[in-house]
Amino acid sequence: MSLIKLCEATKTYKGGDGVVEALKKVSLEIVAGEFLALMGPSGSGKSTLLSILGGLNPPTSGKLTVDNIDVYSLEPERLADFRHDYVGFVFQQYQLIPYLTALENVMLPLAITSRPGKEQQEMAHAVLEKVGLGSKSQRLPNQLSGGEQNRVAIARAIVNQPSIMFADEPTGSLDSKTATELLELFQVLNQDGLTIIMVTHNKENLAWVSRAVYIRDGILAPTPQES
Amino acid sequence: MEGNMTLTDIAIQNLRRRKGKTTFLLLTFVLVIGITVALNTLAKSMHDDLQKNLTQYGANVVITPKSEHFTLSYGGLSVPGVNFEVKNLNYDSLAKIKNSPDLMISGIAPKIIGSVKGADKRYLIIGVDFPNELKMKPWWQIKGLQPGDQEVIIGSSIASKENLVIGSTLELNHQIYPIVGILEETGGSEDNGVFTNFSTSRALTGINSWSMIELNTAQPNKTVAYLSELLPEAKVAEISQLVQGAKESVDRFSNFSLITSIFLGVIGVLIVFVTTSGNINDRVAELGILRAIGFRRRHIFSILIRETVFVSLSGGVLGYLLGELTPILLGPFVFQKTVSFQFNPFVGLTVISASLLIGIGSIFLTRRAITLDPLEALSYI
Repeated sequence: MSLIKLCEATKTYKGGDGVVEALKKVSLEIVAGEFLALMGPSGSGKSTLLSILGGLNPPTSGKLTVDNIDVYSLEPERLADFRHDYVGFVFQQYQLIPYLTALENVMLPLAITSRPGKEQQEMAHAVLEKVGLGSKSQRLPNQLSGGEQNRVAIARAIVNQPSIMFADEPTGSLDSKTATELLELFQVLNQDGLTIIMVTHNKENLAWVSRAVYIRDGILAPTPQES
Repeated sequence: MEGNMTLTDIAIQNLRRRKGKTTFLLLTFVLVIGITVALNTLAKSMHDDLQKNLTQYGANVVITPKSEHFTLSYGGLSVPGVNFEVKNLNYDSLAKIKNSPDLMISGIAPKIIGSVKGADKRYLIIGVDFPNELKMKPWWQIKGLQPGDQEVIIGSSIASKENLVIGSTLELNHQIYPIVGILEETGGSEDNGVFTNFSTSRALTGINSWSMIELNTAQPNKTVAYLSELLPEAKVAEISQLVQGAKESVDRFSNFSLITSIFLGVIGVLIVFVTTSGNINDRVAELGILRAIGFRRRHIFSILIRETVFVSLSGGVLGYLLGELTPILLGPFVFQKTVSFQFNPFVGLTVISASLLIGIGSIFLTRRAITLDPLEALSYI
């Protein structure tokens, strides 16, 4: 059964040149436990699709259901709860809070839960260990390398034990060795049951995923189209 | 930090991280509130000093019955004589004055004054309530006792001219009255007076109303205007011009303090609003991240409120203390006066509440940043 079901999602933006159609009636189903790659060239609409799937960006038309929840029919505050409970994000530039340590950044999603402080710490430490940063928990983001910041972002995304993790070009700014380590980590998390949807334009990453979806000019394509 | 992560922790960490902006905002609160409280404290202190001076100088308003015929003089004023047809200042006029609202009367001393025939001359008889009279005229020094019924004390001039001492007697209306005290020289008309209590003076003079009521008030102008209407049978006059100049100075300083406080308040509000607005707009992307990971708008608002309350409350308290302590420390050097510490909970509560309101108000101005869509907020990155 599908965990995520997107039906005929269209997204239009008003730009200087009139209305731009970023997504055109895109339908997509993702089952629990998939490691899905969203691939496509720049401007193809893959990041827009990711943000719609993640509950960040309501489609102009169409419907998204996650775990049978009609996501965009939720009130704004309930939508925030949905993101908190179901979704973890790894943003393109990691987006860590600069004045918080790695541990504090990871604990952020727990700050709005009723979990006691000790449990918050234990959970945050556990995921930092899992991403290999147990010894650097007290460092500020600017004291960490790009790959390490990425791992903190992953730890923050999974600390609340969401069902789905969205990652937008997670390997885009990493060297190949660090990128491989990151994808290995993604694979481990996926094997633990986490559904992962990753935007990437790097074909080498396809070796790690269970399925790839190609998007071009806002339309899903069954296979990549070489330009 | 090895602790739990709460919204308060996030707020505190942000303030710690942005030390410069936090300090600037804190200093704005401290200085605006500090200067406002300091000016208010100084104005109040000067006003209190003036009050003390007014008390020290004695009466500044005198009430006498209306009359066109005068025979006696006391305290620089003509007093209606008993032998002339004059209007009466009834005893109930005292109650009317005491019940008048907002006149800031600190002393009230009624008198019965008349002339009485002695053995070979007429004497000026002044019936007073000694506790009230001495409170208003602390410079009166009585050698001996205060007079009871059928007793008198005499002014220093009578004592010296007639070789009278404590224990002597004075004949008044063919009766002998023991002299139980002598009022030491004042340089005024009291030196020629014979003082008794009310019942004795009433019996001696036959006067059954007040001859004069002296008042000490912080608002002589207002008091004169009010009592002139309240007591149409009385002539109400202001004296003690001595402190009038000082009062005008204090009033001018109070007005200056008020205008300066308002001006500073407006500038402070603008600075706080602009700074807070800038701080929050700088953090739109960060707030977007929090929204993206599931923070509700009220969580974001709660973080910002905590930050603002911390800064504005600290600024309010520190500003209040600065405002109270500065006049005490600088008063002797800058204003040549000693200012005592006066804990004024009303002023404290007012300025700290104002501080909090300004801080929280500034958050509402930046509501757009809080209600921004998370994706839009992330696009600020």
